[in-house]
Amino acid sequence: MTAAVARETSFSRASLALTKRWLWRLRREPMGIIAALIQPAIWLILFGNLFQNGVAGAEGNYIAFMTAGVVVMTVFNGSMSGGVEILFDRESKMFERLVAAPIPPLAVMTSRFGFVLGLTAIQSTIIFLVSAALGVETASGIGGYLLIVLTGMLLGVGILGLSTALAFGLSNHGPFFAISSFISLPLIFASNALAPIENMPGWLQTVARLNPMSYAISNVRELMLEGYNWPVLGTTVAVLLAFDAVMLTICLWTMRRALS
Amino acid sequence: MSKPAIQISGLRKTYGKVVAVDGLDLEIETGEIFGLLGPNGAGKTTTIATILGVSRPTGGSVTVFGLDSVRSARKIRAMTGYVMQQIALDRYLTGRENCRLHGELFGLTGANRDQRVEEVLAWADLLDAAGRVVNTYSGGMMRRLDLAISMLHQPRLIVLDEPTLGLDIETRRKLWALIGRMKAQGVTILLTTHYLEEASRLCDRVGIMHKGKLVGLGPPEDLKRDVVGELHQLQVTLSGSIALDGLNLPVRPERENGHLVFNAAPERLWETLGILQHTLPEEIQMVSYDQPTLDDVFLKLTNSEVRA
Repeated sequence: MTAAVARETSFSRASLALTKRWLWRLRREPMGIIAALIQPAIWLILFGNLFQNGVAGAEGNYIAFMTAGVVVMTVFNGSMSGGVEILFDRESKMFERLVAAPIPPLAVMTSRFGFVLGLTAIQSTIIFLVSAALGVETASGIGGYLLIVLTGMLLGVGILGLSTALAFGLSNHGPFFAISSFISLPLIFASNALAPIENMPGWLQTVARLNPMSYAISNVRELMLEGYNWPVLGTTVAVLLAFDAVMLTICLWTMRRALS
Repeated sequence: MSKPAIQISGLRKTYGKVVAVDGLDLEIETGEIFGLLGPNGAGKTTTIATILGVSRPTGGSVTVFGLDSVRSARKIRAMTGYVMQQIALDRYLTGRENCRLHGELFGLTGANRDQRVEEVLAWADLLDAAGRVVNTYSGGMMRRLDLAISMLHQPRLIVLDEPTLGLDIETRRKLWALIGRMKAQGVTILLTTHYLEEASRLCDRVGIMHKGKLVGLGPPEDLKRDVVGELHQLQVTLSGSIALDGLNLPVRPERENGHLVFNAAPERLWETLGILQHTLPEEIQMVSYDQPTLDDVFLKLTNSEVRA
């Protein structure tokens, strides 16, 4: 009954199989799906109305101003927590078992990236639909919407790279949650997600201008409120690609260390 | 004569200054169950990692069915089933989904995959539970699923790293039966275990590792005879304190906790017992006889305690 031919499994086939695994698990967690999809919309409605008259510099409709921030924060939160499943796999030795299959180990990582980024793209779409229902019009139309999703993806790759690097670099999930919480809030507040950079103290403006989230939010906000701004779009793509390259390099390094 | 399934030549693996495997030479024949034994830190897991191509040797070479473990690691993994010491399943998927996932990772698709999944689930007696989430399985069921997954792609070699650790004796016996069925299907099996009775029962040959080296190799019965052949033990309990000086026994006893303990080759012990039964038939209260076990071999070769 033994097999005569030893065949390696291709990268694409392995990535597809591992992505299916996440989808099978998602199907089994209906409350998780509902929470993941509804939470950003609740943020938009709740904070949009709460700060409608309270944020200086956010001219016009604050819900429109904040939609960009909520899109990017949703991508950020989903990506920041996205790597933890790899850490759970390492803790349970599932990761070891997966890489004992004839697959390129990178497929474990790419399947997770594909799943998380796909999910955040769906979340972003729901935010747009909710904001549209609340009367917000996207100045750049459907093309702008696609560029907004692309911007979210570019930021998501870098953040997920950071999260996955933590998953490969740490030995258990306690420190993972401590570090990701420690990083998350300062990064959100030291960005233009909730208020314009010009309204911040000088030192915080410097931090915000070094924060890749700010670039993503600026670009999304331009596309939402003003239309196509090619210099902003170009700068954003360049900054986020550089951010992604750094984070993916760190991520791959930690993965190789974990494998060895 | 067929080529060996695994050929290890001068394998050396170091982690910094720590020498995990130190010049290991070993051949595992096609179709045999080979037990790799040794205390913790002996180098067993490192040896397995190099066989699977997960870890690169510092020196020497490993070939599996003629393929080099470094250059052809993924090809080797494609023909190998691996059951780890810790049960490694996705507990939020059903048994069938776990099988499908691993089937696809080993290149099975479509109807072929589904057919193999059902076959191995039936083989492991898990068809009734296949639709349940693994979290609801008992430890024994999870281990059976683990074994079933390792058989999905019809491997030529199966590596079982402590497969029965922590399982009750009934479940262990079920797994022994499954391992026996794997062998009957022509699979070469490399087994590590801390249960030496298990190795003795299942393995055609065992290798005992200590501090990265192979210190014993052969069929369990041969090792018992060659390494501790003189250590058969006869214990006799006599009523009262009786002087044995005049009995001219072929083996001199030691006194332990009120018993007479004789250590010698079997024929000399039987001769001793015959004299005792003939001269002191009324005084003998209890007789026990212990043959050497693989535990004795292990202890003698490694100078260590057996860890359960």
